Amino acid sequence: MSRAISIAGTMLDFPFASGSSAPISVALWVTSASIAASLLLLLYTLELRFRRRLRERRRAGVVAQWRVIIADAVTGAAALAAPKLLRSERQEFLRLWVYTRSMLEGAAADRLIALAQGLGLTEFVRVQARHAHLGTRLMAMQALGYLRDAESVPELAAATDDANMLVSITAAEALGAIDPARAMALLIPKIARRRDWPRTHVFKVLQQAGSAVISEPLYRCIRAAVDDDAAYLLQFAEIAEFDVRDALAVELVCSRSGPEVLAAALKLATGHVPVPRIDELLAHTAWYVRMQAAKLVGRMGRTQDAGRLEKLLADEEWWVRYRAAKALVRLPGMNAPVLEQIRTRLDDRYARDILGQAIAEEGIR
Amino acid sequence: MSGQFAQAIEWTFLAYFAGINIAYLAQCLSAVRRVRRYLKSAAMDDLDPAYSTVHLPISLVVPAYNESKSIVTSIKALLQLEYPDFEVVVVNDGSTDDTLEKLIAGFQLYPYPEAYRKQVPCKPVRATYRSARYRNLRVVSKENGGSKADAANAGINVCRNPLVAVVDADGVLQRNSLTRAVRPFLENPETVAAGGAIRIANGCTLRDGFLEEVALPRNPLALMQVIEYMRSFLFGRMGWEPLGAVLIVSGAFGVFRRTTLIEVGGYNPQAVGEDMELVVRIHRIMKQQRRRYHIGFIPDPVCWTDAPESLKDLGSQRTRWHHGLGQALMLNRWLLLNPRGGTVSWLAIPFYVLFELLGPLIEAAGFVFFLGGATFGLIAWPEAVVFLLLALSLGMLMSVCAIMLEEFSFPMYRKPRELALLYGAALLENFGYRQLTVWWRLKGFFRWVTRRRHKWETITRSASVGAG
Repeated sequence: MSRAISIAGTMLDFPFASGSSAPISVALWVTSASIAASLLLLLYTLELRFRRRLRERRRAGVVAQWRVIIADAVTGAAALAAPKLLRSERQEFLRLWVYTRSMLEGAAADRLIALAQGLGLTEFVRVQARHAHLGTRLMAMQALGYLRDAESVPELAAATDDANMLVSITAAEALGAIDPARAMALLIPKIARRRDWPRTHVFKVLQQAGSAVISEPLYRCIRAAVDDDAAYLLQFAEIAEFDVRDALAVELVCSRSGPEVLAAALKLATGHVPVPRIDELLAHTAWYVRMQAAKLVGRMGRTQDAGRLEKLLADEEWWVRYRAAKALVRLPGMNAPVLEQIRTRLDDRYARDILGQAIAEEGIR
Repeated sequence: MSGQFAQAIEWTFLAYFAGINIAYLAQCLSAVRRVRRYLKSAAMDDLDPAYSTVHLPISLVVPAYNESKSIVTSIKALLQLEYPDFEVVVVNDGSTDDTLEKLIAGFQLYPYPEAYRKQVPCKPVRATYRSARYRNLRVVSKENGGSKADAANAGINVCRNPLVAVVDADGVLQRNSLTRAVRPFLENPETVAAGGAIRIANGCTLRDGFLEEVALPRNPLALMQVIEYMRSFLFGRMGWEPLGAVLIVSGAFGVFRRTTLIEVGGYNPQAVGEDMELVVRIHRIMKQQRRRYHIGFIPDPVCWTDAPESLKDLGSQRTRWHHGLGQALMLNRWLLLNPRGGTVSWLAIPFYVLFELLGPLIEAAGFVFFLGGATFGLIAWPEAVVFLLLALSLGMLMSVCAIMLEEFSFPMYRKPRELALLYGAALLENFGYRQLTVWWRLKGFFRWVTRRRHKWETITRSASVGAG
């Protein structure tokens, strides 16, 4: 009983309790601290929720007001007599403007740019592009591109070397939107070095510049590049003009020896590769070179190449067998009886299976 | 003497409480940092829709065993996912109901001679089918292998894309789940596996296999599991991610590099917790081969799953999970305190052994000691009450941390009533529910020790999931 009283006393005045066991004091301390921490976290959670609600409500108000004005500007329905853009509304307006602008080109985009310039958005965005917060900075750089702000070119060009991938690729996109020719001369030599740039973004930048603008610098850059860089850059060459990329691909297929660059060039080539070279590549030690060579033979579409593909049906790599089979069944003159004849004369079980699959996939009966 | 003994035991439990809660707190802080970083990088989503179109082709492998009731709806939902390049490979693991017939009728399947290479072990495949309606749907019908792992392996053999996502047939994915899940692979080329947060679907409204409205479950057991899942995913796993020590990618939804799956031999059909065993094995093999790799975790809720609503189902699930934990750790014991294992060997595995695997033994011993000690006069009742209060308050603190993290990252339960319910559950789970889970985990522990086997398990579905 006396012990119980002592502990009760401890519970009431535990920091300075005498006679209570040390573990109990510690336990009471920790219990009190965790209850206090739980209550503080509850308050913080409520604050987070309150702030989020407030932000959402404010955002909804700004969006409701400016959406109408932006829509009018896009359609040209009204003169650009927009109300003054308040400081507190600028960030939300920018978000809405960038979103709308990303979907527009031509006269509608021009009208949207005029609206933004009339509201003094350009100056605001230039300052924002140096902001410490990543999201703010990225949106501002994107807006500079959409505004086609020539004055920002030096700053954006410098930002393409930023270590942060998001900053550098966004700057690259903005540059491409402002001055495609200048941007491509600057960016294409950097692409092989910036392997951290998402490929779809690089594609987007190149596509926006257009094949006429990118073909020449890309051709020169790939020819001069070492095998590894050339292999990487070749994936973007499909945006280049047909004649340029086909000539480049054939040249690389005939002159290079690295398996990666060979596979990339074979993927791009459409024909005109000398037959002895194709035979070499169909027997290459790297399976992906053999696979791309088989695909190229298929694209060339010559019935006399059926024997070459037939040999590959027994390749040790599934993908080579599969691509060879697909190429074979698509060759001119390959109908059900001919294919069945090939299938029955195959000794290898894997070769028979893969040809069977390709026949089924192509729906040849 | 008995007083000294009691005090020594009390110190031991205090040390244990201190250890486990410092570890949880560290995980929580690590998770907060990770979420902040994640939310910052997600700022790109607002800016440019193109970022979300960066993709790697994915094969979704859906092991199915006696899923006749919901399989067609589930697969139709998967086929509507927003992702530019993916295929769905359903593996019917010798179902004894009409799962296969439902699939054939629902998707106009026809037999098709698939020439695949068997690269990971699985029971023989009886037939493969393609859909006349959906070009990216294939179905594999195989002999029953007795486990989800065997069915998943058959899917891994058949699928063709560089990334493989193994998905539960009854899981509900967000439309953008795949876009989110590939992010770790795009951001870090060394990523070999990635998981995302799994949430409880009970109480939510579904339409055509997609989530229409998020709500908390009415069933108290499911409600407690909402809190548990928050704790487990929001800081249990996210906290380990920056340390490169994520040991579990949930079986409900996980994305893997196919080459890695093949290298490590796929899922282990003998493993009870095949999802954890696979990830721990990936760690082990990568460490043994001294290779650089990364296992990612994203805080986005990517998959919603149906939680058991009956004591029987829940008990069986928890027993199995704990059995699986013991087995996964034992099979990969090379990792424990291995000089080559880094944070996995020196932090994560010891944590899982000490606080997760042995946790129920220590917790049960604590209950027995304090309640028994007080009953038999070894310690005073108030002392026992103080220690029980300590356990309760620390348990509550961890749950409150998880609720705060949820609010901070991706708040799903937005009504004030729901927040109140979550807090209520965080408090009430300490009275009965937690003790029950300790009991089930103990059972799992002894089942692992006695090496008993588990097979495919089905739970009774709640009304909301699978409907519509």
